[in-house]
Amino acid sequence: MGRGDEEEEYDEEEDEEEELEDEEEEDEGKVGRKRGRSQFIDDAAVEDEEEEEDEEEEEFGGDDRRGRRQRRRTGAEFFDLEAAVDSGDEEEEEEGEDDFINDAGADVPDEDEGRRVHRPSIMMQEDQEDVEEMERQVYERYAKSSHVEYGEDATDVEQQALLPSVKDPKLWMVKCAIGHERETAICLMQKSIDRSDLQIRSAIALDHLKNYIYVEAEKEAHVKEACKGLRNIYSSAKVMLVPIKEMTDVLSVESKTVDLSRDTWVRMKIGIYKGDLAKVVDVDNVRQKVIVKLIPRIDLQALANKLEGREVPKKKTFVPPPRFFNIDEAREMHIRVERRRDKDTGEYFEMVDGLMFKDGFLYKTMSIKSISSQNIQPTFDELEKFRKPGDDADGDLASLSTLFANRKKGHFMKGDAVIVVRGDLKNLMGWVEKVEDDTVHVRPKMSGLPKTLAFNEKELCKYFKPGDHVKVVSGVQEGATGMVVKVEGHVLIILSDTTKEDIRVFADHVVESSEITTGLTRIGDYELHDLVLLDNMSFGVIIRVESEAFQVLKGVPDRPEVVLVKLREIKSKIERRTSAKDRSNNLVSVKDVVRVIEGPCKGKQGPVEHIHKGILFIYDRHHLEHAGFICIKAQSCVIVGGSHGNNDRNGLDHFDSRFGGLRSSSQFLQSPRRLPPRGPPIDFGGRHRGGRGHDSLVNKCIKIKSGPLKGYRGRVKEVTGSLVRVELDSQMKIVTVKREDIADTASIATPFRESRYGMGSETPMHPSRTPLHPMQTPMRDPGATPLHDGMRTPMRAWAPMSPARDSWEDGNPATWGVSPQYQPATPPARPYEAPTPGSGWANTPGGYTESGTPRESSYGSAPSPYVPSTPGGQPMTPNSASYLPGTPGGQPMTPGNVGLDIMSPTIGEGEGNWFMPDILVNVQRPGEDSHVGVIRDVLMDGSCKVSLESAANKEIVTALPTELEVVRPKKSDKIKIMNGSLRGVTGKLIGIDGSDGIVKLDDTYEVKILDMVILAKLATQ
Amino acid sequence: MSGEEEENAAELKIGEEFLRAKCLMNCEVALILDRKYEQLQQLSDDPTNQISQVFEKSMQYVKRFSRYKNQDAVRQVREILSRYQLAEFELCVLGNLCPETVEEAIAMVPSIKRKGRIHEDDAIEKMLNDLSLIKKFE
Amino acid sequence: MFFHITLERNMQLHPRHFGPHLREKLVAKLMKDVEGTCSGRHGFVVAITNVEDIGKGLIREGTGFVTFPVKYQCVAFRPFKGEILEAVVTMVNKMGFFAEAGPVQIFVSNHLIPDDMEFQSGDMPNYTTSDGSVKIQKDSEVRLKIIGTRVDATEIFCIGTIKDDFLGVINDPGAAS
Repeated sequence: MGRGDEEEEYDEEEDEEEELEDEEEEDEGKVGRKRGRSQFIDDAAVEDEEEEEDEEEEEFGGDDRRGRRQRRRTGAEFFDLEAAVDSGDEEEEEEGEDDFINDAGADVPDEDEGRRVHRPSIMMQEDQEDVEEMERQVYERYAKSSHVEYGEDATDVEQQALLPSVKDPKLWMVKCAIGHERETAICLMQKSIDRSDLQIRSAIALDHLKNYIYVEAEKEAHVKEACKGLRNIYSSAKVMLVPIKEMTDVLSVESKTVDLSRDTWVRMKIGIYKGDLAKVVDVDNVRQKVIVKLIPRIDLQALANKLEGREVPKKKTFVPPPRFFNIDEAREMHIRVERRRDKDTGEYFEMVDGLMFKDGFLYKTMSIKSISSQNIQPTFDELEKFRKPGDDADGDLASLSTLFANRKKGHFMKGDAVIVVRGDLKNLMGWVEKVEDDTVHVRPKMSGLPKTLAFNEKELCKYFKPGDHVKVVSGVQEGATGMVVKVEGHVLIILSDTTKEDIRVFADHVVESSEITTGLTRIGDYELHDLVLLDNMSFGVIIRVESEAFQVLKGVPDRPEVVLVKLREIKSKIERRTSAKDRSNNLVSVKDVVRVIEGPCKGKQGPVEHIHKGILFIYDRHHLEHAGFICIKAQSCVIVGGSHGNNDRNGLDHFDSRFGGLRSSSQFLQSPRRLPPRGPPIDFGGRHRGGRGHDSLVNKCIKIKSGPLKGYRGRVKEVTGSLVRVELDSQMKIVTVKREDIADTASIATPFRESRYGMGSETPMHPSRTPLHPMQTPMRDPGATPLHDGMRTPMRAWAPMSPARDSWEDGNPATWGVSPQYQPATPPARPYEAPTPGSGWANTPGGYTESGTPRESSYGSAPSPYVPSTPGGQPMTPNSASYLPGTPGGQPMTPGNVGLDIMSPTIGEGEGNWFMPDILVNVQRPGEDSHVGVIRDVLMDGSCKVSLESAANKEIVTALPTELEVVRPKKSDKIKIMNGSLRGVTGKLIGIDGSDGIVKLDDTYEVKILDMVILAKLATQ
Repeated sequence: MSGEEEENAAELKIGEEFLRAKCLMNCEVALILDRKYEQLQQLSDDPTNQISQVFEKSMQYVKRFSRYKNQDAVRQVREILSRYQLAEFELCVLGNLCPETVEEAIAMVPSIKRKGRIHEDDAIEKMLNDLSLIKKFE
Repeated sequence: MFFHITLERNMQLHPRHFGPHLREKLVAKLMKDVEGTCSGRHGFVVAITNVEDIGKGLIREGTGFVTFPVKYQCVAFRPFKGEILEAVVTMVNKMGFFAEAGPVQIFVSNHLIPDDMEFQSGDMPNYTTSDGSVKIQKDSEVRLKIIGTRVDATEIFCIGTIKDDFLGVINDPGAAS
């Protein structure tokens, strides 16, 4: 049963008519409810007895059971006061006490209203001539109501039969004047009594729906007719049909009221208490009233004034803060406090000016409508406040029931550790085995019990123990992750991963997870760890993001200074890449690892995250303060393991020069071609783009022949499957167009074959292409390349030199992100020429420099496919390229190297070669829709056998590489790495960062950052 | 996660792989790392730049928390402890923490009392005495 | 706990390194690649002590790289839940204190510090018992029990407790020196 609280059943009893919908559920709910009951009887004294009764109870049926249950609750409720509630018989007598709100009368009209709605329809019927019809109606009505009363064994089918069908009159929604809904309904009723020719069946005004009434009738015309002349219905008002499916919703009673049970938390909707948390003390469903307990907001002075007849300022200037009512204080102010015993319950209340107080709380009778009971999530502060002495255990339970009511579906999952919080087996621990609707099968931890036990969801609470790593999935702290450090009942104290601070959450709001999230990391344009410029021209790194402000570690060396700044106090983000000189005058740039050699942070070491005005921000994960950031003068550091950033800086410089040079000549570009050993890498049109989309189409001038960009001319930058990226001549802009939209496509059929086998054939092509480069380079690079240089190259290049331990650097094909155009430019200025003091293993930088290789990318880092069939292209020959100059063994390095270039994507690798079995591809054949398929086999000529997913028989077709496009994986897809040193390795894509994918490898669990281009979605078998 | 397979060193649930692996006491690690550090030193003037932070931290740690400095003593400790049918892990915890009383030893390595092995308090006490003797005569 | 374990790794080597020093190159690369890394399964690899075996290389189709299965022994540090070890306090704040045991960071929340120890702020924040006899501050040596571990890509973070028998500040630091 959805809301299996026994309270509800109480409601049912009182209000059975309304429970039509819920009736059938009751049967299922019985079991659960029985167990759930002891929620209210936490006091041990009663409990034992109660439990005995429990067993007896199984034998009782129907009404008896109910009576007892209600009685029992009654007993528990007032147990505090009634020390003698110790035998069942006595309780029986107390049944009546339930009704402790005794001030009837006041609300009668309210209640009447509800009935009035029903009555007119009956009367209307009476007026109808069609007796037979009337008979049927009456019969139906009676059938229905009897059904309600004895309908415990109603089946689904019977229930279904009662639902409106197409044959029944329809429900129409009519717009009327706001605030006159009831009046309109009554008018309609009257009208229908007066005039027998009206063919409407009923008119309903719903309290919660303003501006509309419902009219039941067969035809729209009937409704219009009836509404004609009514003052509150505009003649122009449209009459809308309520779809059959929604008809029941119109009249079904909101479960809201049913949810209201004692001890649930609610919030006030109106008045000075608006928004305040309150606890339900008693519910009167008949009068739609509840008594709630609140922390009073009473201005005693004002109250005193009022009582003494002094002038009371009419207008309240402020809302008094919530404070417990203190009798002594009140007496001091000469406020008369009466102590009165409630005649029904025997409870004592302090009465002041008609207000009821008890234990400092205000007891207030409210209309159900003026409180909201949905999705109440009391905060800890609020609960804390409510927890007055003697209230503790109670408070816990109350919040529990509220929490449980807010539980989402599928709250429990197999494997969850749970603890029983109610019933006979309270405190039993176990693991969830199976979940069926509300019933959870639990494998108990204790031995000697049945293998699994079934519990109602409400009896269980998730269980965590200190040390578990969890994620908060709902509530205020949603999204945070951390480790449980303490368990207090169903409240957990978690050490947040990000802030290393305590968070208090309900166990219910948490799932076990190994995921580590940062929580809030960004406000506006500013993100955690950004370098920002502040108002007063100071600057700093954001080390923590709070709900409305940032903590910034200011760029003041020597002594850490942290300030809290608001969003508006931040002027801008500082993104300019600068460099600084370290103690030994080496250039330090971002991502270089430096060691602090003086000052309080001496000995710390870590990569430089930001540089500004000669001040470095170093990130040292072992540094616990300031999120690991250390602010230090560049002069107080020495670079460790050689700078890698240099090279990217050079790269940037070169861009600049190439910018200039682009219009004149392309000396930079030509240089590489003069280096014969490097044959293959010279030019692939465009590095990873080239790698993938290498295609003779690349660099061709084309014209777009169809599509929205029809008529534009441009140069092909990249070919990806059936898509082509074209740089438009007219607008310095790159657009993506379909291949078939391009005019000059004559050559696309051949490229693959050619490139696959043709290192040789490839080379001759170059001269012809060379002229293109000067033009092409600058255009592409400003956009794309610097990004890569900045982001990737340095890191990778750095890997071999430094004692880096970033395993993911290794074999990261993302190195291709470096544009070949850029490489040639670099050689003379290679960073490794710079003396790299203590550059780890790389003691003989000469080994690199001599070669003048532009591509210093780490040895293992950019393993790219080169073509086996063209050994001539392999630069193995001349030197034994010592990537690792200083092995621990201390062998001297062989100077010189060459082969590094081989790392870059070789031309031989057309797209075809990337394909591999088991990856998902889109097969796009001319004149056909594209199909998703799985590559089963890659043939010698590059074409692939693809089994089409869509075809029922998994038809296998052979497709040319040009017809295939790899399906790009999305986050958390299984992937296969198509290229690089990890080619063929499978993993899971756990995140995407721009053009990089973060991949967790299946076999080693290592996390790697790889270019998205080489990742393919793996077919799920 | 079924919960039952969860690791718990107190119950010697550290995974098959580690259970079979050879554990090292801090003092042993100190010797190993020292030697390695010397090697590195010979190869380069400034070995600090070659060693990883993990190495450095580990070395500092084991030096600080080695109960026995002397190589012979270290060997003896292992020899003595290995007479008591301890699991590698237990052996090293005892060697690292050097509990002084039987009670303390059991608190540190609860598994020596469980598992149905015969570890009389007397035996434990003797073991602890032996250990402290080594320390004394080191 | 430190372990001496044998691990395997497939090392990819570019053919240009082939020659008489192939083995040295592999070893050097192995050290560079592996030492100082951390995985959830094996913990921190502190130092490689021995390369047991280098298997036959396998040429990777499509790349020309050769993969060598390398078996090596190393000293690894892996913390376990439930393990008791000694650590040095590195930072104390009102939330608790951080301690380091080799490469591993351990946080001991104030909930897991005995209730009779109170936080004292100041230049040298510390936790002190009411009688002042026991004090935990930076550089104190404590014996703690790990109750939870969290594995990141590059580190293992633990939370620990000193709220148990025989845990807490090591009374006689002299014994450790």
